[in-house]
Amino acid sequence: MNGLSVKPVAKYAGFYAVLIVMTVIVLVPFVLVLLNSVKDLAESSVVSLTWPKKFIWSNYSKVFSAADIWGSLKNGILESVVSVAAVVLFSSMASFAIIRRDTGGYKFLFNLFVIGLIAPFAIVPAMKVLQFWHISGTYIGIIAVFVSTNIPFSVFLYAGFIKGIPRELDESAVLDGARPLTLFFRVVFPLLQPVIATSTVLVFMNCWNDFTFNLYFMPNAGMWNMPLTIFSFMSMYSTSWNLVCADIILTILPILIVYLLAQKYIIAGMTSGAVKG
Amino acid sequence: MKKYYPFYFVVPALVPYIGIYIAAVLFGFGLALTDWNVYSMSPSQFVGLGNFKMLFQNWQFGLALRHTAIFTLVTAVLKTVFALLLALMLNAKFPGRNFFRAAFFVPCVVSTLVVGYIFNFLYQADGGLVNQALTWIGLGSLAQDWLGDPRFALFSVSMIDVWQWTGFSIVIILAGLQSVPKELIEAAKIDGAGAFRTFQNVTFQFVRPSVNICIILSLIGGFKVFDVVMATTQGGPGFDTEVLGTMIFKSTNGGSLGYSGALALVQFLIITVITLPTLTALRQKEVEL
Repeated sequence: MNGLSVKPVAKYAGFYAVLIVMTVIVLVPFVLVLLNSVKDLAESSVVSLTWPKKFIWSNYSKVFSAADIWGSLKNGILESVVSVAAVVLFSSMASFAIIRRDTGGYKFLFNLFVIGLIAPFAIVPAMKVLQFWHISGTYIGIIAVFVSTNIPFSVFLYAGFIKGIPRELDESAVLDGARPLTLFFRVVFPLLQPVIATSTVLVFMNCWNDFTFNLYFMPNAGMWNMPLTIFSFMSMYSTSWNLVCADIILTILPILIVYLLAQKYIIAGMTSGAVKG
Repeated sequence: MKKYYPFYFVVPALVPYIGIYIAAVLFGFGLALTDWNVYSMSPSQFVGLGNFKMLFQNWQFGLALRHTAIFTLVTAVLKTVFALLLALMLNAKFPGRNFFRAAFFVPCVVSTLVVGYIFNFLYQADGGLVNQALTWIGLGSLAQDWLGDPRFALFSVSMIDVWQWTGFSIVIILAGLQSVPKELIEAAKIDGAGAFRTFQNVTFQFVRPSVNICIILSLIGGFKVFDVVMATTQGGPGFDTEVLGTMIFKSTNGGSLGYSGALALVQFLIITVITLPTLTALRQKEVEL
């Protein structure tokens, strides 16, 4: 009716159209997997985006009986939770000292950690290193690998964040008689909340989703995590794609929940962590 | 103040990092100078630069290097461009914003192994969703055997990486956008600058550091690519998606630890030689604000 109001409306529609198309591209693959996870064997042989003729919910219970879902869930939680706790604690403490000391030696330490962002992790030599420490094939061994490979990016994040925390805060705590550990855990650590959320999600992601390290460092299949359960449904001659899809959904679910819980903090953590780092 | 930031704060991080990561990397580099093969009966010997000589004479190495470079360039450019555009959109205030913000990051939290399997379905020549979608929009003639055709395999694998990791770059750039002072945008508007001018002269100057981080992380990740190739083509068809990562994996599995150590060292040097100057060049363009 009048030219003035049409333009913003058209712009708004175009804006949403672009976002919706992009979101569909991002989410449709998951819908595909979800639909195929409840189809019968024949119908799922071509994994396609069609509505299931009949919903076979028992696929999920079949997955639980065919693969050791509970065991791998337990393994995944153990590996991920311990690794996350260690990485968050170790990286935040180290970054705090590195940023506050800010001398040549500590700059060198920071750069040493940055090398870990660049150098590809050497898997086979690492197997020998784990043997050397007598932790090969154990939970401690794989957790140590997760911790050591996740520390570089976390140090990078925490260092960027801590730069933005004024030193005066430390000084007033020190004047009140705080000792180093008290200063860190009572005053500084609580302020790190956004970046802790970000690094928790990132490290949890890396551990939960890992398959290379589990394959190399865990010769005992009973100690594998969730993503590797997918191999239980594949064989040379036949693959039950419906069960594979159900297994994929079960693998995605826990990490998705963690992400959705921490989601609103992620951008805040990146803001002051990665970007200013 | 020194005693309030004691060295023992750094020790818990340094011990696993040096004890495993750095130890393994250095050990790998040391292996590069030997002919250690796990399946060989004779004891391993120091061969100096022999492995590197062998490497540079191997036509597969040149091929893998080219594929890795193409993959890196394509994914770094596309991820950064898409992420910048989407982050600008997601930074506006509109109903449903939180849903869209959350949605774009979802692929990042999924295991690359799983993503690889999902794309094996999507890329199927017969009945795969990509070909079906092309048919629906009337471009059925473009349907391909995406992962099986040598002409498209590398491109198809690159697109999986773009699909999965654009959300990560979006988050970093969105974070950067939070540092743009609203007053400056208002001031630019009052001065009569159009949307594009405002973006170019104000917004972009503030997000530049985060765009740079996206580029650097994409370059590093691209040269290290392994998981997504392993979960889809394993380097095939033939050697058409062979990258440095899969080549290292294959020679490791073949038992030649010396050779794969040499490959890893070359990969490390390439990443360093490419990212450090890029970082310096990008940083110089950043304005101190």
